Amino acid sequence: MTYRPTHSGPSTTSNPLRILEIVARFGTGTTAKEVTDALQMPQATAYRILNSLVADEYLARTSDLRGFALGQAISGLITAATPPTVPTAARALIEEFRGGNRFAVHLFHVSERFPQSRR
Amino acid sequence: MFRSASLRVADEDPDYPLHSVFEMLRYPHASAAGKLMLAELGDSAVPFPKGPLVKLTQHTITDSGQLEDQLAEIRLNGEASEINELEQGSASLALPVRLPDGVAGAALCLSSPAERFTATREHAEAARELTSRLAPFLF
Repeated sequence: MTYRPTHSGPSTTSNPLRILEIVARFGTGTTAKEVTDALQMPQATAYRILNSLVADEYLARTSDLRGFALGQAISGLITAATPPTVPTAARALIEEFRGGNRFAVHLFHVSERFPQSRR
Repeated sequence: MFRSASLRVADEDPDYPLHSVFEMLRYPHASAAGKLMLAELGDSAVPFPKGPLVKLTQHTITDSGQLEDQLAEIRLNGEASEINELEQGSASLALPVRLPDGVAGAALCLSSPAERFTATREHAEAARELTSRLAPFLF
């Protein structure tokens, strides 16, 4: 997994995703230098992408401002990719309420979604 | 930077499967659970659905002022309903299942054919009681 100059590949979004993968793998506090080293990416490019990922909340700066962590927007993506789970006890209560009634009873989760793009 | 929210099916009634799942999740202004979600999150920080409100039936609310009024009413009453708005011939009532901080984390939805909706609504109080019992298990 290394840096791909965007002009040579078909995808221009792959580098931000590679950076997210690096931060996910290295964990909270991953530094810009660790990112550039791991991806062999020019520093200026890495900083530009890191800043934009922070602005969109896909990454967050750690409190000492020296590194990065996965941001709030990632939790929205994870939620969207994971089917909601309903504990057995809750399912049993719903099932009991349904019993014999002539209407449907559904449960929906309300989940926060990743930030919308700013226009 | 603002956020929006989405609905996800958590527990579908096996005896009466959902019909318009795609429409429901995509066009929250047309469903009871969707309107409840919009109402609950409806402060200035949360964007309204972008673009024109899609008309799914002749009863779907497509006027944003009218929708705003209804959302205010939903916030006041703590319940949302739709009749023939998502799908001609069906109606739903949605009640919030609240997180400890009072925000709706889930919606319990009672759906039936529109002509039986009055009878379905009679179960609203029992359904509301169920939402209080569900909350500790869900959140």
